[in-house]
Amino acid sequence: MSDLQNANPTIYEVTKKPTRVHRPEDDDEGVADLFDADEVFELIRHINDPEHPLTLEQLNVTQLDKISVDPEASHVTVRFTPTIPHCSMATLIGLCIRVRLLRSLPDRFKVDIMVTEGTHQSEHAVNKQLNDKERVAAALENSHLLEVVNQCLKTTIDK
Amino acid sequence: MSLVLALEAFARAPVDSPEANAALDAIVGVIKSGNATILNLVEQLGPLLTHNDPFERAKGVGLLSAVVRKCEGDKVSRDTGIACKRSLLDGYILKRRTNVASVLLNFFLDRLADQPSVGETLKGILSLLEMKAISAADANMIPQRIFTELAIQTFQQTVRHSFFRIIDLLLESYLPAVKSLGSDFVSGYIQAMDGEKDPRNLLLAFRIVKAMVDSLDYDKYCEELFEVAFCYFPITFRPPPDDIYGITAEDLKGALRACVCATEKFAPYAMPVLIEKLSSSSGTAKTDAMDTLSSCAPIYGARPLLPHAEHIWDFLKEEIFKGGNDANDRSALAAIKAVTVAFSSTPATSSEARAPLEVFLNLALKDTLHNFKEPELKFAKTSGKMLMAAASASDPACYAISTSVIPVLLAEHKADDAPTRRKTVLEVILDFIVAAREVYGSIDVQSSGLDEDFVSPIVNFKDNLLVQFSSALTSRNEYAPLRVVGARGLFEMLMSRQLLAENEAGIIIQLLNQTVLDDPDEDVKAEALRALVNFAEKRPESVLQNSLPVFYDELPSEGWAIDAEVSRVEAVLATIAQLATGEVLFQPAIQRLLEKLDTTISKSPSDHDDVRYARALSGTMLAVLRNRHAREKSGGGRLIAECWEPVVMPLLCRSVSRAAALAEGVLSDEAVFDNIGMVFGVVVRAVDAGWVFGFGVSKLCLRALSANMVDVLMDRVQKRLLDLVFEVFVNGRLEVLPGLHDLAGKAFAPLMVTSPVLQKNLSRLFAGILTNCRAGVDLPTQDTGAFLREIIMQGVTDPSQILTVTGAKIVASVLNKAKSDGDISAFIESILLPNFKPELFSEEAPLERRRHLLVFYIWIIKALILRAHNAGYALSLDVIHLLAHTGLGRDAGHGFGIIVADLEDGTLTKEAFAVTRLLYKQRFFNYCLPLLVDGFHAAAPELKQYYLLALSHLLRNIPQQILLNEIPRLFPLLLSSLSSTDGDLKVATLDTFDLVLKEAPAVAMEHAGSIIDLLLAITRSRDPAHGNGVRVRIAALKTLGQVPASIEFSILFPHKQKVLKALGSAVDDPKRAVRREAVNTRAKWYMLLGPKHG
Repeated sequence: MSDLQNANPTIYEVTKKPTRVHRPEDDDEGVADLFDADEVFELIRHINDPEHPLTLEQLNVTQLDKISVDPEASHVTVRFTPTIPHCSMATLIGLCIRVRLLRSLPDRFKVDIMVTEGTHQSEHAVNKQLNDKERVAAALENSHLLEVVNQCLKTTIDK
Repeated sequence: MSLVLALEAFARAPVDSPEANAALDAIVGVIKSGNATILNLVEQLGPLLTHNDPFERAKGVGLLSAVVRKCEGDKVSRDTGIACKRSLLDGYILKRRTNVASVLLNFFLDRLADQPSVGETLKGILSLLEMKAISAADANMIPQRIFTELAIQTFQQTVRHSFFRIIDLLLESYLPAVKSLGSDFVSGYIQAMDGEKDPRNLLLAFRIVKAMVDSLDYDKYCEELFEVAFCYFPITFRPPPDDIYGITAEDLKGALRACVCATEKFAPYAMPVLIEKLSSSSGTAKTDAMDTLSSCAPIYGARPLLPHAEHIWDFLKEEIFKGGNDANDRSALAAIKAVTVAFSSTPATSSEARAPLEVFLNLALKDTLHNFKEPELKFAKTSGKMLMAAASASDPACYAISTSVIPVLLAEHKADDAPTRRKTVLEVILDFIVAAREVYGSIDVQSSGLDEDFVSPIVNFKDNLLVQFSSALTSRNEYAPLRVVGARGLFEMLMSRQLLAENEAGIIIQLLNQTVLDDPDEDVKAEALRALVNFAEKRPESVLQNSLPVFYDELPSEGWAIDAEVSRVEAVLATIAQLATGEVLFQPAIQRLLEKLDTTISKSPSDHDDVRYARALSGTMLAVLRNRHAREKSGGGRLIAECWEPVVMPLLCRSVSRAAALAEGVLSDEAVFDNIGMVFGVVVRAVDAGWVFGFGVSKLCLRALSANMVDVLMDRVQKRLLDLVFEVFVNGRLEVLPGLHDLAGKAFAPLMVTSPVLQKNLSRLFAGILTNCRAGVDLPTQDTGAFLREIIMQGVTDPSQILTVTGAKIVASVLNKAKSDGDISAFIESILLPNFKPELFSEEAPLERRRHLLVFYIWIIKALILRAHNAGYALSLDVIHLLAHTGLGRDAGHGFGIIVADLEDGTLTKEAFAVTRLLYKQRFFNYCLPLLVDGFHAAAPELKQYYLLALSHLLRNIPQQILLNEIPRLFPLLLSSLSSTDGDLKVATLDTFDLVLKEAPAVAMEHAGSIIDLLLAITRSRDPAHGNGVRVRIAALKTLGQVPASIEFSILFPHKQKVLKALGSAVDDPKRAVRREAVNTRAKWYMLLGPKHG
């Protein structure tokens, strides 16, 4: 138990099921629904923390207001907040978010994933790793790492 | 065949060959017929039994055992009258009148020394025991001899299995004999069991250990007995994939656990090893150890646990703090509770400073209390759960924990009023109220069952808690979860015994009422409503008095003036429907709804939206009745049946009088009368079932009809109801209804096509009553055929279609419930076929008319198929022909849905007393299937979809097993359904695919490639002309997501990249709902990683 980085984290009440209000045009086949922050949040909120049987949302690592989406420019920015500033899991968490979005968003989107400013001591290094295509690809070549990532993403299925 | 010949045949034949079995049967036959005795057989077997070849000897013993097994007990136990002159048995048959069984047993026991024959010998002994042919005196020789002569574990599994069954039987049927052997039996058994590995044997072996503990003296070998069982802990058995014995690890664990906690004498040996296993690194071993501890603790008591208290607590605490596995957490919490129960049962001895319970609880409180200082951290919640488990164990535990924890929590609650923090703190407090309720009982517990001296510690905090939870519930901030906790806390307090005074409960109910009505958040409303509903189960009077009036007041007396009111009133109605199912609340609620509905029906049209209000009211009445029906099922429909007088009659009279006066307004609405018709139906069904003596009303209304009818048998109530409405609806005699004297002579003909729509609407009320009568209830008409014919004539010509549908139901119900098959045939041949069939097939007839006629046809088929009348099949042929008709094909296809589905309104269901034969759906399916398949192949391309439509209706409504049997044959058709342009058809087909993938993946396996391609094609083409709407695309994606779970990796792997790529464009679908599903499906395919990654 002592090997956990943060054994007793704060747990946050999760927001309810999507609060999106149903609009009449949602049923209209002809009207396209644009990508928005809600939709992206929905994709990543159920990712499991590598250390705890808790989701990133329960630990407040991902928050709706830290996501911005520009559907015109096909651009998404996600900021996430590690539970403690020296958390060595930050890169792994970022990688999980990266892989989830790679698999879930259309190819046309450019996705930036970053640590919320001032919440991690090696913010820059983490950001650099997460947004370097080649490094991400190399990380995913590592079958052990990929297995860990898949484990964290398992909880996103059927939510 | 003589005994000698048969024996020779047996000796020649190889073991277990058909010839050997035939010979065996012959021998058994000879003995059963009395032509020879078993002892004759033994005599004849002499040479074989003394043969030099051990396998021959074994064969001889085997024959003897098999014969014993196959003969009835009396043949074996009967006294023998034959003296044996020269045989192997000479030595045993000392006295002429020795029991055969005893002779055989002695013989078998002597054969134990012959190693190759042991298997057969034990079987023989087992057979003798099973037929209880052995005397007690003989029985105790069995274990003695077996234990001294056999090293059981050197034999193969089947032999050992016989051994365990013998011991099991001895313990079950010959206990006194076994007891007389004393502890020798125990030690002998321990040696014999030691080293056993087969799960089938172990299951028995564990049972034997438990039985020995229960009834034998084992003190001398207590530790050995414990060891011989416990050495199997933890069970790691995993049944092989092709296991045919069905033994699971759980079975073994349960059996072993029963041994371990069989006696407290095991405690000194068990505790150290259990503690050791608790800290094992294997997850299942840990869980198993915790579960075993839970079972043992109450048996062992506090003393053996006490030295380990700290260890146990530390371990369970770690386990829960770490968390992560729900099952594991549950086991740990259960263990905490069980251990607390054990500690609670033992007071302190004079030498101890503190009682065992105190020792344990001090440990628990020391480790947890400080966590409540920071309630938003993870450990606060888990600490609460642990203490709750301990508190729910006993009165002293609950008292000690609650009085230490609740003040701390309340102080914390006071210190910081951030809503999130308050919510977390209240949540933990709530757990302790729940725990106290477990210990001190709920309000519905008879107080005599519990000790009144024990008073819940919650009482001391009652006032404060009431204030805190009430203010949480009424807090009008943005944070809904706090209000949810408030509602839950108040509910728990309401339900706790001894806690609240009447007026306090009343105040809480008012708060809950207000929340249900006014809270902006759906979750909070639902929680408050749930509280009221559950409380109403226990204290209906209180809810009747404090809650329902508040909701009634919300119902407008007129219709809706403004739209804003709609959702509020609808919510109130839904609330009433949920509350009013219990006995006490049912009638008052129905009465209130009726009053409101009556008003809306009676008033003249205004700018209020009466129609929607009337729909909601009638729908609510129906819901209340149906909820009630679901609950009354077991106890007969008394309360529902009693609605005839106060509900159905007034509603009927009101509707009829308004319709006769041609009053516009609510009367012209179909949905309202659909609902009312169904309300009538539910009541009429119940009338016969539970209402024999409460026939007050109809006496009143039937007096008008004829005085002597009142004396007709009470159990023919339905008949009288039907006669009454027949007079009104068919003959137009309004004056037979109470209070409608003045209307005599007014035109009222709801079943005639020429009547105004608002009268025709009332035909649903007539149908609601008629179609729900029992089969024995006759129509009050001389000529049923003519009546039905008239109904069809009217229905076929009705442009509004009202009389088409109600008429079809009436005709179907009457035909289905006809007295004889002959009556039905007569109707079909003399009325339906000559009068209507030509028109159905005539291209000259107007299409509209033909479609209406088809509706009647379909309902008639349904009526006949249900009772397996042959004409039904002949008529369905006609409908199958019409599938190939451009104008009627679609109607005919959907008709199959009506024929085989169980309809929502209950028409022609068993509950509505329809005559149904077993398996009628299956028979109909088998009849239609080949015709539909052939028709499909023969049909023009644009008509094929109608066949697929009919097929999909059949598939949706037949039992799963039959569907799965037929699937291989239908697969090509199903695949072509996926390329049709009919969206509904595709969604239905995709449903079938889901089922096949889940239940019979092997069938889908060979078509995996085509399925995947077709599904991907649907997700790609969004052109409305292809019929791939949002619904269809989502269904296709769902099915595609089911594929990886159902079909083998090796088959799917070649498709993986293609699927991922294609889904790459599906996650860019213009509709968000589709994208959601696409993302999920794609994630499942990404996770398709092969067996290594499990």
